[in-house]
Amino acid sequence: MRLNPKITEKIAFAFLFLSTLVIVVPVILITIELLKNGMSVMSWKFLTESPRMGMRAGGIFPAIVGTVYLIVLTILFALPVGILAAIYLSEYARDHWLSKIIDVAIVNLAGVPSVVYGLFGLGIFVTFLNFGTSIVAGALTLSIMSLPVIITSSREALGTIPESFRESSLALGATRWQTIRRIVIPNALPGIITGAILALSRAAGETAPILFTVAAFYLPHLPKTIFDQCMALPYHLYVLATQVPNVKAGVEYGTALVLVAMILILNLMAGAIRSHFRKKKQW
Amino acid sequence: MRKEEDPKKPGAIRVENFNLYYGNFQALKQVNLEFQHREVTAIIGPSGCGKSTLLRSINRMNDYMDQVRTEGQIYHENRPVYGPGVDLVEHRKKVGMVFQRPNPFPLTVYENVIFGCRLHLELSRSELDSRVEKSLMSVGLWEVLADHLDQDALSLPNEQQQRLCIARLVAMNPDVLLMDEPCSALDPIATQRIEELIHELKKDYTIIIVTHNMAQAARVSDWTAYFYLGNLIEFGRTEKIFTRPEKKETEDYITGRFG
Ligand SMILES: Nc1ncnc2c1ncn2[C@@H]1O[C@H](COP(=O)(O)OP(=O)(O)O)[C@@H](O)[C@H]1O
Ligand SMILES: [Mg+2]
Repeated sequence: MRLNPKITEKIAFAFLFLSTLVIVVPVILITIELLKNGMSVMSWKFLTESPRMGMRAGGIFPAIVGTVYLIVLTILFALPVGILAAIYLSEYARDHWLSKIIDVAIVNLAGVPSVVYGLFGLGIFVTFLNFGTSIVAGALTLSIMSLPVIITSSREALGTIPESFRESSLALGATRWQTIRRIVIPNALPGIITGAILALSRAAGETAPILFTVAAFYLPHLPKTIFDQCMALPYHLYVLATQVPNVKAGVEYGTALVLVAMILILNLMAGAIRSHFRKKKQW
Repeated sequence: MRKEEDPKKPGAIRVENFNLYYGNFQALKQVNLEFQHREVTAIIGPSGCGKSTLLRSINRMNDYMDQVRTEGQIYHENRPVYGPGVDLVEHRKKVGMVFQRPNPFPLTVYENVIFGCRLHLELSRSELDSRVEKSLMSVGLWEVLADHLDQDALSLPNEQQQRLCIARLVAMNPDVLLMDEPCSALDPIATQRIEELIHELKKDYTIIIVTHNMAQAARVSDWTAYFYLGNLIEFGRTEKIFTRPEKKETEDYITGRFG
């Protein structure tokens, strides 16, 4: 039996549309849920005060600050290392056996559950390197977790630079490094940054990697150095939801809303960078 | 292989017993060839015969490919191009290459022209400015682009892009220009104008041009080398190659019986 192409077209369209709905509807529902329940506690005080009464009241300021610290420090660690590794792998060691092994390693690392990174961080940074439970240990753990994604997306960005640019630069007597620095990196940077931000926005919302390495259950004051512990939004949320009885419902949702908003801001930044440079790009 | 018609001075580029292998495949076979100062030599032959490979060998662009092996030697002004102790940067400043597709950098016109100078020389702003003017002048772009030096080079039409790529070389004061089918991405009118430019440039530079366009070889070159399957079949004065070739193969190719 042959179906009328017009009918198959309709059926195909319906399936494609439904699949899209399956993705979009939960996102919309989550957002509505968060806004409906979280907006009630949202206030300047909620954002700028410490928790009170065993975290049943007050604000979430230390957790926001802690998460910002972690994000910034993770960027400082992971971005340079990730970019340099990606450059080495795709510009210098292209067909080297080592880079093929590293390729396989990276793909597999990207699939390792985040709690394993948490345990790794505990073993290496907290205990072995003796950083203790601290912001550095947490940020390093998040960096290690983000690196495979950053390296992969950076390599993709480097791969979009036409070979002819490299060739003509070399033909003009530039060394490889001069070619990379003057031609390859400036043109790949928007793509690299976009990928890195997306990797970090994922890291920012993770609980498991910071659970053993940095997160404080409750700290009334802000960290003074990067060797202090700090609170962090994802872990605070976990604590509120599982460890503290009788929390006002809005507090949990408000905390989640702030976390999601921060991640959304990161993603919007990535999108803005990408679309800004896509307009300029001509090849 | 070389047929002496008139006594020649030693060439700007001399290729001696040169072999090149891509893995097990031999792309150039025992090539001996000499390119004369301030004359245009056309390299012709059917596609895949090794024209680009020879050109790339002259400024060692094959270095970046895996599995490339060479034997024999190429000399530039009697200095070997292959071997330990060769300063590649110095060599490429003197022997520049224009590619098949115009490939300016995604930078301004100005920055494209002085890209090489910035790498190799410490020049003041005014020296850079004058190099830009001189180089654009010599490729016939100054009148058009003098007021658009800040324009993105990739927004220029193809022909201007290709001229810019030549200007980028000229800015470094080279003495040899290698051109690999420089007109293949251009329309006939642009092609004609680039040919006129080659004629102009010949006063100052030794030019080696790969082309699959027989008429173009006849129009622009003083010497012609015909390659087939990695072998140099015939080399001589262009008017001789095109009117009284010595080899049957050359005649067949030129008269379009194959290729
Ligand atoms: N990177 C490479 N690896 C393997 N073989 C190559 C490579 N480049 C060119 N060749 C082969 O070498 C021969 C000569 O190529 P090329 O110099 O590009 O020819 P032409 O420019 O005359 O068309 C062709 O048979 C081509 O397939
Ligand atoms: Mg070719």
